Amino acid sequence: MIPADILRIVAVGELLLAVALGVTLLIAASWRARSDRRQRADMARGRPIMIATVARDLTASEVAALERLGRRTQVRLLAEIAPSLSGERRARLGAVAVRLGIARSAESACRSRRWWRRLQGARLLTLIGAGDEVMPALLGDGHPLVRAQAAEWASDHPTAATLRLLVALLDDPHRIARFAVQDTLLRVGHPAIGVLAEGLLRMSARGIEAGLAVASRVVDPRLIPIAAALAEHDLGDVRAAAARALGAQGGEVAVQVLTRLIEDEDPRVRAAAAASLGRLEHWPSATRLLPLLSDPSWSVRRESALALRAMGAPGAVILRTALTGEDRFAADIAAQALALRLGPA
Amino acid sequence: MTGRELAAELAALWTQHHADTDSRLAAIDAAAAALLAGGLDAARRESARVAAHKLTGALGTYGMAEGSRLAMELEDLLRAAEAPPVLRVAEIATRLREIVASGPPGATSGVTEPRLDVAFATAPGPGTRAVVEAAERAGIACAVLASPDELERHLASAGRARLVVADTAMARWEDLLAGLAMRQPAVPTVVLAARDALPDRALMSRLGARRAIPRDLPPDAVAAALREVLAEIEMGEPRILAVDDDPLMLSALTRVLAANGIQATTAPDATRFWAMLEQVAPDALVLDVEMPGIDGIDLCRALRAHLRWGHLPVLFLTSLADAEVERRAFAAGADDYLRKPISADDLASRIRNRLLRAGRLRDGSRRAGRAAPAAREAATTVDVAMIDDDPTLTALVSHALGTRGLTSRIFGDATSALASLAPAGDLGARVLLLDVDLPDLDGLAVLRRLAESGVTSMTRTIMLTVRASEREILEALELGAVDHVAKPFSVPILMQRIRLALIR
Repeated sequence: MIPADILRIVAVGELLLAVALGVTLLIAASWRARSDRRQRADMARGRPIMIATVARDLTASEVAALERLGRRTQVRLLAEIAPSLSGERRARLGAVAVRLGIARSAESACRSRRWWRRLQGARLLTLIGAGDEVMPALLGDGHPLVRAQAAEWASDHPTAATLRLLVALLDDPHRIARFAVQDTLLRVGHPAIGVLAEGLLRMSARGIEAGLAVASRVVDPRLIPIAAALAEHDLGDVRAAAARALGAQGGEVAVQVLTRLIEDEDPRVRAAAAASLGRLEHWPSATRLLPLLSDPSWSVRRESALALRAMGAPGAVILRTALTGEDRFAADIAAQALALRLGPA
Repeated sequence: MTGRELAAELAALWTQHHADTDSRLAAIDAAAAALLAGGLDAARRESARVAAHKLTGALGTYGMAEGSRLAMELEDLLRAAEAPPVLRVAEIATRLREIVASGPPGATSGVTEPRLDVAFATAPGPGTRAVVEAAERAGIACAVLASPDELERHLASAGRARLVVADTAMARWEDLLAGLAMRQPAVPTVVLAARDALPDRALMSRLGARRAIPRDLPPDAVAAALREVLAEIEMGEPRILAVDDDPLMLSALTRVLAANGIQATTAPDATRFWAMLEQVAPDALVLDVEMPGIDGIDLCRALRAHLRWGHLPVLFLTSLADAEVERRAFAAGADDYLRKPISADDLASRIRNRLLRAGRLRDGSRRAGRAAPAAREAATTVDVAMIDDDPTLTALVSHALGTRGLTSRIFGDATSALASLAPAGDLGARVLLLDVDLPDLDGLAVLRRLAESGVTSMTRTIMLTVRASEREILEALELGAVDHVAKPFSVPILMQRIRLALIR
């Protein structure tokens, strides 16, 4: 049994601790409120100066006023204004950030051993468009979030070297990094296609799929032979991705390959090939899609019906032919496609 | 029948015959699919062409002009020697489906306004009320319209009455009757008059009133008289016999013509044609050109050789836009050649005009003489007299006139013609075709003499000559000629000029 004195001492101690905690919380809240008020005031003072940056050169007194704001407020102002700017105005903002020493400290953060500090630095450099010396190296960073951030930075810095690194990153084991690279390559567009076309044939299936996903969103004839070659790949997923890429390109070769792929053994490939023929609105292939309306795979039937719908009048004729045919699965999917066609938008 | 009623009837018919249309669209689809597959055989192509041909007429008649135009284009594509353009055929097939799916214009409204039998243009009062009640007991739907303005609004409405009863007690009833007689189509009228107003009957008759009913007759007797007039109106409608292998077309034709006061009896083929002629005793024939077995042109030729029915006006109603077919039709004795699609009003007007020219459109009592064969050769008045010394030309014109149901008399010289056409002569002519270079007398001199004797006031003269100088044309026109046709001429054009002269 615990003696009463000890219990009394513990109770008093707990009471003192509670009082001390309360006082601490009050002081912290007060300090936080005061700090917020000060920062709001700083932001209000700095915002017009920062906005003026994009239109004209700052005077010495304005630069001094910005320097007095403190790093945290400076970064917040940059983060607030930079996303709304591009091109020359964004560069002017970046120049101010360099002048204030923000770029230098961000580059320093990018060399940190801690991944979250590197991520912070990378984000800041992405924001102000600086960091040509340190950012390419981060494309090979050990942490996927940092690589993804570096890939985002690269969209505004599409040098040949950066693009090669980016294309290599399509093979990244982490989805977030691959996604960031795909997004960057799409934003870069045609300048990235040559490097992408070269890199596709040297990647693993995962990288090829990611690259072909990019290819399916960019129209460039340089991709046709690559996609046509990859349509012979052993893996169905790759052949399906190649079919989707060919559907974005068009042309005689693409149609020939797609016409062959609608008879592929893998239903995913057949579905993708049918969808691509529909995307190309290649109505001479309409009759070839008729048997696919009876395919055992629902996705193949669906994609074929939608493709026929996309082919316009010839596709509609084939759908109506299926409508009156003996295969009730084909008739059903044809009816759905025709209903979609005739129904309200 | 009002426009709304007609639209509703057409919509109902459209629904009834949807299976026919579907089968035609299926034939077109089959051809389009075969064309896409690169294997359109002759049988499938012909089947699609026939289907397109039928749709041309049917869709146009049902007010789907775009569909009719597309079907006609498709028919032309499928008839052409070269392979039809795949994409265009598919586009037409698909668009036709959409048009057919949307149905005829106005098909959404199934509500029809009931049509009245009689509108009384009279002041409301106990006497009027008693007559209206008696009429309604007799099954006659009535309305009382107290002023000409009300009547005008009523006649413009969907449920306008088939007969207007004008009360002579109303102010300016003469103007009312005259206005109703001049409407197109004319509105049948009867007059409610006091017994002591009998001297006015001549005026009433001139103003087109079918009957004058004493106002002091018992209401039931007035109602009975109105029923008689309504029955006459029903009987007075001209009849036509239409032969077409497209049931959709026939159904539409029946409704469209009924809406314009023409009774149409239809036959889907020519197998019972002669029996139906005897049974229906039509005033005119409407034939399709392309039909299974015997075609319309052969039928027309056979009809023209028939002793009893050879005079019947024949109108071809077809979607064929081939000048050669049209020429063959006229050569076979056609009176008119109408291309589908044709609007209901146009079709009815063309038939009515043809009936008028042929003298078949008469008042209600004409039925008694319907079956009597025409014997116009013996009449003292002919439709056309021709003075020309070229026997080849006169034979050609005479034949053309005869095949159109028009009577004619040919004169090879001016002397005999002047003797016959003079006021004291044995012949009257509604139109005179006059050559200038005649062996015995100059044509202009003939015209001058006819003008001096007052003949040109009753006979419309068309100058027919190789001379076409401005001076001669002007001189002829100044002497009273109404038209001038230069030789060589096109027979259809000459017939059209004659037709215009006849209706002036």
